[in-house]
Amino acid sequence: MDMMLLLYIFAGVIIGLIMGALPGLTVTMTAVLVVSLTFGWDMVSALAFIIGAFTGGVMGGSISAIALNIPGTAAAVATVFDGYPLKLKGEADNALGISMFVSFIGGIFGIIVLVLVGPLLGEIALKFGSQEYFLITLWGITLVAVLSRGNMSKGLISAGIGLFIGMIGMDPITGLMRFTLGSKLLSGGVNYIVAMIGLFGMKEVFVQLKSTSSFDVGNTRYKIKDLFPKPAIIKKVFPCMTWSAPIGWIIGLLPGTGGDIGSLVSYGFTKQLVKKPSRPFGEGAYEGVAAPEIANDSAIGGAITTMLTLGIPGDSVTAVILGSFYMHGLMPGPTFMMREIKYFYLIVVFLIIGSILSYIFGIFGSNLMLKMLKLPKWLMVPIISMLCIIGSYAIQNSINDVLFMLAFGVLGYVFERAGYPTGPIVLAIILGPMIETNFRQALINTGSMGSLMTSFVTRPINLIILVLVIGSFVFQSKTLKKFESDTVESKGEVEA
Amino acid sequence: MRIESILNWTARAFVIFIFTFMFINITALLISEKINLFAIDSPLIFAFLVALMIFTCFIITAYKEFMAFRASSKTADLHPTEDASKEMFREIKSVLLYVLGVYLYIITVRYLRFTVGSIVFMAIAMLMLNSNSEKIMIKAGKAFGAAAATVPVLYYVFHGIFNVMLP
Repeated sequence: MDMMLLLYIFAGVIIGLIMGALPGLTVTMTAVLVVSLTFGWDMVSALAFIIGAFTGGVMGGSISAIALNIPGTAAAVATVFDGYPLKLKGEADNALGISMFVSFIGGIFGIIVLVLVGPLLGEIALKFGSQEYFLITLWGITLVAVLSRGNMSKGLISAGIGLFIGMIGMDPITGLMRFTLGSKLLSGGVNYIVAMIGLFGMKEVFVQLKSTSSFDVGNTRYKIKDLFPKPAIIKKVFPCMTWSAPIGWIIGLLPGTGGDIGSLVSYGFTKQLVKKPSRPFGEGAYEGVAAPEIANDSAIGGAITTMLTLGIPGDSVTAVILGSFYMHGLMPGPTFMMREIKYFYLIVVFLIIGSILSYIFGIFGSNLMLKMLKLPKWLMVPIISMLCIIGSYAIQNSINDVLFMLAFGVLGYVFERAGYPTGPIVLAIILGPMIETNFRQALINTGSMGSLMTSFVTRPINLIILVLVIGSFVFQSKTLKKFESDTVESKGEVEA
Repeated sequence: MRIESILNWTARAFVIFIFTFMFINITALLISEKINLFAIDSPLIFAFLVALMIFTCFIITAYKEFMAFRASSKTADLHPTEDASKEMFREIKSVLLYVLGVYLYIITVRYLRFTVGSIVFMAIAMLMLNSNSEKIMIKAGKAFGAAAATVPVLYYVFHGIFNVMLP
């Protein structure tokens, strides 16, 4: 492998680890900023950089979860339950050591299953027609259920606005100009990367203005040698690793669910199954750190399997990554495994290297990242603003894109404050053109709206997908409700 | 009017604007291009369904919010306190100022050049955001120093290494 590619993965990992560790700077935001910088790059270098940042970001999330009791990423929410009590008991080294070791194992497990299942799923997906594609893309939209956090109608409004934004410009089938107001500026449509930078990056800058004080990490300092796994602890957490990794992978595979749900479900399972934990759950059980951390990393493999073989993102981070693949000319989806098989294996290799580097630099850079947590916000916020401005300008060298990005940032801020989730807007901007094209092709193929609706229940594959769509929608809504109440319960225990 | 209400009404007004704009635009296209909306090859059928979905969800949301408002108006303790409102007002004021600052930076950077414009923007932003109880000159010195150190690094990394065009 080219040394430059290794360097790109390395740079991505470092950026991902730092930004993943900083609370408020999400992995999604990291991915968006990283993606925008790779616009002029060749595809392989860009993939290396983006995947490096992705793997680093997921691992970085656990650092602030343990040190601050604030998860750096949504996938690290469950890590807080036992990670922070472990820190309070003077075992911060053990907590971070377990977390990073099982994250690494989970990541590798997810990649191995991706290699085994990916080609098989790709072959099945090749048999799909436009009706099946439409249902599959609709399956991706069920992610709205998770992103809406209990307010489905507001989530659907956000998704509708995303679909509208995706429709601005030329109709891909007939060439009709829609919603452009006769403006040349809008005739090419709204660039989805610009929308993503605004909605995930600039919006977060505005949210961070709420409080400009830096975080208090106390006198925590990790001893590097204690961050390597201790055999006695690994022996204790090994049983829960055996079920948490597959749980994470399967949940990551389902369109619309990602590492955050995977980690919460596996934490719940472990709480039920382990009768004699090292300590009671919520009071610093090693199993309580290992289960969610291995699950959220193995979920990456599952989410990437769905993204590459079906073209559907598992969560907002994979939605951004999917967008970046489109930007670089890669078209994940059922034909990906046939046409772009070399890129599939390249992505697998990058993921493996990214996981190894994230583990190594996660350990050796842990104290540096703790120092980063102390950086004042008055310093960080303008720098992030500059990254958003540079990122949005770099896409087409246009000041108009920067203004669009700023407008999306304001929209994201107002929507978030008014209780409208912003994740579905981005998801719909990315999936919108695919949903529309497949819907209209299916309509033409079947001849009428009635026949199209009937075909959903009369064609066996359609029926199976429809059941899965409804099933995952119900599963996500119920799981979310259950685990949100569990989260409140566990947080209460931690605080007590 | 409470500051939270202003944000909620802004979001609602935006949603109303979007679906109204969609319906008007679809109608205008149907007339000018003589398109049958419900034909199987209609380029506007999907857009119409999306507009309808936004409209329906908006009605549901408005109804839910109205019911919640009616329920909360009976229990006064559910209203945010004056302190919380003031806090939010302060936050929104700083967001508006920041947006204005970024906007001014965007439109002036082509005249000031990237390095000068960015140092000025970052120094002002850092000074504004620094809420430490230090003398203004010390804060200004820190802000200018940090901005002057950061911008050349950004320039070198993005333009020099990543070959990214800068504003």
